[in-house]
Amino acid sequence: MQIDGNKTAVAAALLAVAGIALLFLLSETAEKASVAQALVAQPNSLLEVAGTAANVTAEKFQLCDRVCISVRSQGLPSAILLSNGRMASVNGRLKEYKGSKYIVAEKIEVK
Amino acid sequence: MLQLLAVAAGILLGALSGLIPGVHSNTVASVLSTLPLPPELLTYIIVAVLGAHIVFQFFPSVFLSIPDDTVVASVLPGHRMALEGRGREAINVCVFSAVVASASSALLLPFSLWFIPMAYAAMQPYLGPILIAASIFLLASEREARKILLALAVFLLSGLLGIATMRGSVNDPLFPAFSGLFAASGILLSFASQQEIPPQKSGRTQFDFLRFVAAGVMLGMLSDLLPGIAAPAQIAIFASAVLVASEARNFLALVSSIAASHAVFAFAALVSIGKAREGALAIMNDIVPVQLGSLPALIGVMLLAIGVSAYLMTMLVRRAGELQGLGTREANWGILAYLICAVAIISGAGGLLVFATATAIGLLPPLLGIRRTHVMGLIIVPSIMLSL
Repeated sequence: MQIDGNKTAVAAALLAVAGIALLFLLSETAEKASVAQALVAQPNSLLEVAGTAANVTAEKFQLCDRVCISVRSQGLPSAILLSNGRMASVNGRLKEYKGSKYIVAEKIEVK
Repeated sequence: MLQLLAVAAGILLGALSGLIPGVHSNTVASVLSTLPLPPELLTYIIVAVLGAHIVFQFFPSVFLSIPDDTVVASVLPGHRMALEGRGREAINVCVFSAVVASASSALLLPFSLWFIPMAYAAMQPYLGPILIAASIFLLASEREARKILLALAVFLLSGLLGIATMRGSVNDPLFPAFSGLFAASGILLSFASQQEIPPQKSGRTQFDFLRFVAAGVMLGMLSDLLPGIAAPAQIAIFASAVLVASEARNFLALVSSIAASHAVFAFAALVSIGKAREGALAIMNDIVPVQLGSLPALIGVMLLAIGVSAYLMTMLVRRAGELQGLGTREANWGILAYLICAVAIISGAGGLLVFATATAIGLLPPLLGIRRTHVMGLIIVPSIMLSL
């Protein structure tokens, strides 16, 4: 099979630019917040919250900085790295259930 | 006896994680850390996983063109050698270099405990300018103005992909990115050129690349000073431009010795500056904090794992003849399907977008007649931004 190198290169470059633009569009920037700020933030906001991990289980843990917020981490491989007392930064969307706020983690960085 | 069984189990798991693309030693270590095993045995298993993974990761890199993030720089010359029927030689070079480099690094460990904290403090303020200067040098190595401009475009495009990927919430983003840049784009191009892995030659390997192993050991120590993404791969790319390792064997020796010595000196970095440069070490340090006194036993386990894995790998590569014909259309479709499934499972829909974009960028260097190393802008550009 013969391919036209120039045409393929132009098509690949255009595809790459479109893909990068889409990735930037989809990457909603998380707003940095303390645990206390997260507890009063609007549900569904995308937050980056740092704190100390506590009560770590396979599916969830608490992120604490004087006050604590629950984090659901199910399915994230990085959550396995967590242990009680470790500093972590969580990117995720704030949810509310029966008046209690919690974060559904999309990304966890263990420090 | 139990300790030896732990090391054997670690080698087995490290072999599997090294041979199966997409499975990282950190993932294995993190799963292991949840098991109710005595802490001492767990640390031995994790160190053995790390050692075995270093050796076995070269197999998919050389024969399938699917790299691990530590040795991503090896994928181009390694796979090229496999396509020339020199895959066994490529693996032998990698394995021998990793063994010599890890043993030499162990001997240099006392020196590194003194050197790393001092060099870390001195380099920290200048990391950004150092990375920029090295990138300019890498681009300028294309020599012709037209090629330099094309290389710059590919470098920046890859860098933008890196930034977009790191900003997003894609899990393990380097896996879809590297798989697209190297494996998938290579497979797509092979459909046009009908490349396939030929019968693998079984000639003797010339071990005339020791100076590159020596350089790799020193650079491996340097890579433990860098906080950036995939530091061993970045160091290897820059070093290859400076050391003019145009011969594929020399380049492979350099990359594999950097990867092996990076892992050994990571223990020194953890003890001396408190930075775990290997994810598996961070996990282990949580189970039992690594102390100066425990270093001889841990390094001993690491060397044992690398040595045994090297022997097993040379046994495995003797059967490389059975890979003859791999690279035909059907096998390539199979690898491509595996990559798409693995990316979807590990990194989700966002990962598939990263994979498709990276594949498009990976097609550019061969089509434009420039070196593929410029796609390493993916990790270099975000590192520059982090360090400025």
